[in-house]
Amino acid sequence: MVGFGHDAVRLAAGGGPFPGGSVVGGLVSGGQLLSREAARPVVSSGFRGLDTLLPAGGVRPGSLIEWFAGSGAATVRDEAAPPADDAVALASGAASLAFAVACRLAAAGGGGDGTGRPRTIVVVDRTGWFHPPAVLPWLDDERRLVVARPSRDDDEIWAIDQALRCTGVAAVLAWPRGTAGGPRRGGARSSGSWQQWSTAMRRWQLAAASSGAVGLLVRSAAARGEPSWAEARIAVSPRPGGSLLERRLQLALAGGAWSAADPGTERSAEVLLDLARAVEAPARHAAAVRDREAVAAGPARWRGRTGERHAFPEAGAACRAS
Amino acid sequence: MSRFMTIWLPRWPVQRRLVERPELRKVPVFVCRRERRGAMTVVSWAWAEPPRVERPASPAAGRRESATIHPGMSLAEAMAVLAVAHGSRACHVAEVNHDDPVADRAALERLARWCRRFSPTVGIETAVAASVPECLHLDVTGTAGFFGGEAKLVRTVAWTLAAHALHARAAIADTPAAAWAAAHHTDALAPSGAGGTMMMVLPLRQADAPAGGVRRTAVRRRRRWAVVPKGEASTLLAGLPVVALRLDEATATALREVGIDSVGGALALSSRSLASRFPPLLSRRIAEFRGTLAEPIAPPGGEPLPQESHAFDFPVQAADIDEGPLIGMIEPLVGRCLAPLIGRGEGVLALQVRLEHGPRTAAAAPTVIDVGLFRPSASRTHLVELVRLRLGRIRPSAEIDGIAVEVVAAGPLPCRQRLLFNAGGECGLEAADVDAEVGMLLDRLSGRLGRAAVFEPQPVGDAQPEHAWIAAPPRCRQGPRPSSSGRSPPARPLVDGPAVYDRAGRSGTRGRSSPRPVPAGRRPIWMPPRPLPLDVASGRVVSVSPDGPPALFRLGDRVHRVVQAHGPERIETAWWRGPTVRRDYYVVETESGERFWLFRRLRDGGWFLHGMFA
Repeated sequence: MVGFGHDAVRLAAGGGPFPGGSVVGGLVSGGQLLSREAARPVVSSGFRGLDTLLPAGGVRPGSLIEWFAGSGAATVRDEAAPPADDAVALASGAASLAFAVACRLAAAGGGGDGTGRPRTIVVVDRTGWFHPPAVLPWLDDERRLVVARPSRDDDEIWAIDQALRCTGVAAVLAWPRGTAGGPRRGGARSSGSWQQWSTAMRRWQLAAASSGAVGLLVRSAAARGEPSWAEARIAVSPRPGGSLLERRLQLALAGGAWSAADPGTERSAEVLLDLARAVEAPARHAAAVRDREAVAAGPARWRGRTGERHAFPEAGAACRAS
Repeated sequence: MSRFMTIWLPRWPVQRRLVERPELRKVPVFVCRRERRGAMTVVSWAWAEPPRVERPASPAAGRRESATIHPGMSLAEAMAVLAVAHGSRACHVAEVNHDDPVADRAALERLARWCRRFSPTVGIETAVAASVPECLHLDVTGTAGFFGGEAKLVRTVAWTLAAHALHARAAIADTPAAAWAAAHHTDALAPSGAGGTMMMVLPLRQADAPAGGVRRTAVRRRRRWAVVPKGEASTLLAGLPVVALRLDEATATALREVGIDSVGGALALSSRSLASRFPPLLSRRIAEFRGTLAEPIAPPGGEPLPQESHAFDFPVQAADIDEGPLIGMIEPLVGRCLAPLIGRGEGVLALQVRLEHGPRTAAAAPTVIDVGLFRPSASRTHLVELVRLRLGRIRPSAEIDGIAVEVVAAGPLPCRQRLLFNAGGECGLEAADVDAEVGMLLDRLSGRLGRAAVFEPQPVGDAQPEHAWIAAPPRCRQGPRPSSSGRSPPARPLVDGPAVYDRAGRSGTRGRSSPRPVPAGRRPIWMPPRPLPLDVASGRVVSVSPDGPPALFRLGDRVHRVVQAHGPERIETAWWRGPTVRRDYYVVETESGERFWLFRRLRDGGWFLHGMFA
């Protein structure tokens, strides 16, 4: 696909002679982008259920993935609400799953060939709520975690863009609010327009495509109706019943710019996240948990975008000493 | 013919401390070295301002004159001498410091750079075997004319240093060795003639010369400078003791044994007897004294960091000027600062850009833009980009008179060969490339967001969750890391972490540098800056048992029924840390599967939300 003309453009732009290296001049033709994306091997997310949902069968380097936290029950909340209210819908395990995928991306390839694989994970934490001790045990000496805490919205957009543009970054994790959702530091903020959000996300998508980094954006379920440039949009809703170090998560494909998925044809899968190692728990655990849940006879609680949960089982508090 | 000046700063280790702490001038100051068995040896000592002697004619005053403490004495012995001379009170107030040769040398290097106003070539003496050099050599060939002659230059040096509270002696001679000898014995030299440039050695009679070797003049006033005219060093300095040749003790003793105790006697020896009868140091020192062996002046270790400035012809209103032209003026300054650094194989670690405001404006202090980097960089575009990011946030309002760019810190630049064609494609980037990319990203992020807003979290062994990590500045990774295809990676130290939480069989090396790693999976990924109180009084938290987990709690407008709770995990902090923290933490799972981290404050039973397993 890349002919002589493309090479001439690339060299004139001042980029290195690497296909897919950082092109400083920013002059990249569409054909190059396509060929570059085709040359990138798809990386498994480490979760079989998630891989079946992703359009490419795994995480494609240089793409964005949106994670919608919480069920569809969370609605757009008013700006004056305390931050805890927004956070309630977000205690669902989406950020943990996204970070587990980021760890997997940072470790992809193993680095045994002596080349410099990007091993840095950048967390852009506009909220100031990110608690690193939760994820530090998941990192080894090779992987590196950098946290940036912007204090303004435009700084956040810029920081995500810069991090995605860097070829040394494996994954960028952020919880941008977009036009709605997500806890905020400093209370309410002016509501951004869809246009602004769409522009920012397009910038991120182009930045990721130029470098090969993966953007993992954790957002409130209230943002599902917004335009998106993500390759996949995954709705994450928790399922009760996991043990202390396991988390059962129900995933559903909620569209994506690249798959042009019909909202009516949602596919879903379930993963069991091992919180001790940030990997998928063995299948026997999953089966055991499923059996236990069958005994509990709990109804399927995730009902898609408009699903609401009012069927509260009258289960008492099960206190279990750890 | 070359001319050299030597500036001698007697007892430099003490002088340096006196400059840093002027209050020490009133007490005796000892700089001591701790020897192998704990004994303290005096390296240098001084009492800048001893108390006035009330009765000079008393016997005590006579003893004071004879109180001499030599370097190499033990501290106890020196204290005894001091007590005899000045009374035991002097020993009580004496300040005893450990020696710090590195700091002494660094201070002397700073002084050497300052002395470049007298000569472009300034160096620290290297010939003396003493651990702490005390002399600076200056090549003043041709520069004396700017100061009105050599006598005025040397006097200016002595008095300028005295104005900076530094006692210095200076001398000019044909060679550094001769200047050194003259500077150390300026007392023995006196002016002759009205010109003031001619100096003569006082007639020395060996019989009545004291142990110091030089007879004191009747007037107690000490001279601080001397000029040895061209070609007369051998004759004028002949009467000085042989130690003026910078000899070690063994060589000086060997000379004294054969009855040679002056420079003139040593110079009179034939070169053949020198080589056969004395250590080679003597012949070398004599050659240096005569000038037949060149003695290079080594500049101080660190070159001065580059600094460039540009002054406008007319003051410019900052409101009128756009960011682009300002950057356009800063960029060549940065380029000129980088040029000498690149030649030395160094890159910029910290850069300061100052927008100077004129004296007419209210803001007299310049607007300062400090740019710090995580790894040295010699890329002009990268540095200018960092300045631009900061300039966009700091817009000066006053009028600008000029721009100054100064390199504040520099570091060695990682240098390696690049491949012209890298067939590996995107994945074939070398490790150093990746690290460099991340380093530049960190520079950009911290440049715009602030240096404190970009960090690498590190675990610390603190039980209180809020303090279980610290925001460490990102590490700078220099050079390529060892790959596993090459030698094996270094073994990671085993951390004695509790393995009880780790049922997956992972080894206890999870917390990387922490002595007590946080157990994996037990901490929420989101934690509010401070615990959110859950009001008990309004029925927002319902607990079944007084010490048990909550069964129901309300957050916002939602009621959460707890279906599973893990805990309690009791966390208490030490009393010496301030207010004691005593909490019982529970990981609670609600009926919808969401997980929260709640705790009960044991002091009053209040409930708080402290995290979400997002």
